Parts: sequence; structure tokens; C-alpha cells
Amino acid sequence: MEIYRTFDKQYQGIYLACFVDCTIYETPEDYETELDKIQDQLQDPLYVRNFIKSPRSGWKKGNYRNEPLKYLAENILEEAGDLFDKLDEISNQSQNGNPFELLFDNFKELSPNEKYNDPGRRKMYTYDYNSLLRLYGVRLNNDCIIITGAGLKFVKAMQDCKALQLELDKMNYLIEWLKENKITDCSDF
Amino acid sequence: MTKKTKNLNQIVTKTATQWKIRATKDRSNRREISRAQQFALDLLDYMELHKIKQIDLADKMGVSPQQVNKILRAKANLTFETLDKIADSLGATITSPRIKTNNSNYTQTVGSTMQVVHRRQPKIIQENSKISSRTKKNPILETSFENMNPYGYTAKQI
Repeated sequence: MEIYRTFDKQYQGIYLACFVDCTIYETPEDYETELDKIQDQLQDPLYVRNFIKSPRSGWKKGNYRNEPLKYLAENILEEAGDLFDKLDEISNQSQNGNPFELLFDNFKELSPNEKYNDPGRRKMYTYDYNSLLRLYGVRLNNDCIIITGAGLKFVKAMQDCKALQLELDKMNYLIEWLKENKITDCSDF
Repeated sequence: MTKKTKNLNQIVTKTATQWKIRATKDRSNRREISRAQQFALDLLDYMELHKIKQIDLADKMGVSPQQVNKILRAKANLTFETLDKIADSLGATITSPRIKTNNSNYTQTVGSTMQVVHRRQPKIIQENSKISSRTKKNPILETSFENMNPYGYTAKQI
């Protein structure tokens, strides 16, 4: 398991996970972290279209089952573009001493009963409503979130589709890894 | 016995750079990327509808399968020459980009900004007109009364 900073001299805020030597999942070698994997795949029309069509997406099991493939693919590509444009903008602002503060506040607990879990699973939507894409991560104490991946949510419960179940497993794996390594916060730099 | 804990910064040694490099580049090219993605989705729909494989399209275009893959992943810089090759290979027409003024004082429309690909045969036009009627954006592979105009531009006239 490797954790990356999002910029030099960082001591809190958003960190990025790379799953290396993990039993459940490996970040593909072509990518530095999970974030640039998401960035590449979710802006790739061929990948997005094939993913939606695959049983792993849960497209035909959820509320979007009657939506045309092309409509969903277009929306996802647009949302991914908006997300990374926003991350780039926030990242530029963070160089002025405001490290991802806006982004940090946008991460919410995965379910209401997980609000006080530490480390705890978190999610972030791109838009205020009708987001298909979620960023997932693990919040540690009150000062950092480690992004573990992203998902396209077409089903009601994450357990209802294989791709989102993997995102749950990745978050759970990181939580156990943090506990095993007795990493509790990032405040005492 | 006290439990010795660590903070995250003690074990983090690297800074991620790749996502940021790409995000900055993509943000400055967002319009081009969106167009390429839109074209790729339309082409994928067309290929699926007519059961055309990537390798067959590459063969007909006289390019490598990797080049076709790049187009379908919105990573190729599409030129008029490439668009003509695609149109000829599919037996379809890709109309040229047209200019439409944004100034409301000018009511005369010079052309439309829409890119349209369609089969020449009326039978296929009927099939195409049924697909994805709910799409929000310019459909390349759909047909309308407008692009059924026999005097419309073809790929060779771009």
C-alpha cells in the first residue's frame, strides 16, 4: 500500500492511494495513483461505454436501466471532465495555503451511521444533484482524506454491483491497513 | 503499556504528479476533448449498429488498429483527412464543420455547427432515426430531414 501527497510540503488535506502488494486489488502499473487511473478511464469513451454495458456496472439493475447507453456515456464523460477541471482549479488555489479545504468539506460519510467512524469511509459527488460519479476515500481523524477510487452508481446499494463492491473492499482494506500500521492522524508533522 | 501511533506524514514519501499534469493540459483543451469524445461515442454506436469491428475499420482506412483505438478513446487529433477516411470506409457522410455567428445582431445563419454522419441509403436512415432519441447533444449518426438534403455537403467537399 502506498499513499501519495497531492502537492509538495503537504501536511493535511487530500492524499491519494496506490494499491501495491494488496491481496484484494492492485492499481494497474500504468498509473501512479488511483486518481490518475480514474482520470484516464472515465474520460475514455471506449472504456466508459464498455463499462456501462458490462454486467459489472449494474446498469440494467437500477433506476437508469431504461436510459440509453449513449446518454449515460455522454453524461459520465462530461461529469468526469468537470470533476478534473474542478480538481485542477482547487489544486491551483491550494498553492496559496488553502490545501483542498473546499474539497475536504465535500466528502460525506458513506452512510449516516458511519459519521463518527475513524478511520471512516467517505464519498464525494461531482454535482449537487444527479451525479453519476462518486469519488471514494477514507477519512482519518479530522485532517485528511485518502482517495481510494471512484465509481459510477447506477444501483441503489453499492453491494448490488461488482464494481462498487470492489470500491467498498478497497476502502475497507485501507482502513485495516491504517489500523495495523497504527496510523491515526497526520497532525504532528 | 502505551500504544505507539504514527502520523500519516511519517510514511508518505512521494508526491503524485501525473494527475495534475494531465488535468492542467485537459482543462486548457476541454472543448477539443469533448468533441473527440462525442465523435467517438457516435462512431462506436455506428460500428455496433452495423457490426463493424475496430480491426475491419482500420483495414478499410489503411491505418493501424492502434490508430482506430486512439480515435475511439478520444486521444487522436482528428484531421479532415482522417474524417474523410472514416467516412469513405463506413460508406457514410460526415458533413463539414460550419460557421454560425454568435452575435445576435446578425440573424443570417451561415451554416450549422453540427457534424452529421449518415448512411446514404434511405433504409438505414430509417433505422438510425430510431436510436437514442433522448441524447442531449449533437448526434453524429442520427438523421433528420435537414441532413437528408441531397445537396448537403459530403466528406469530399470539406
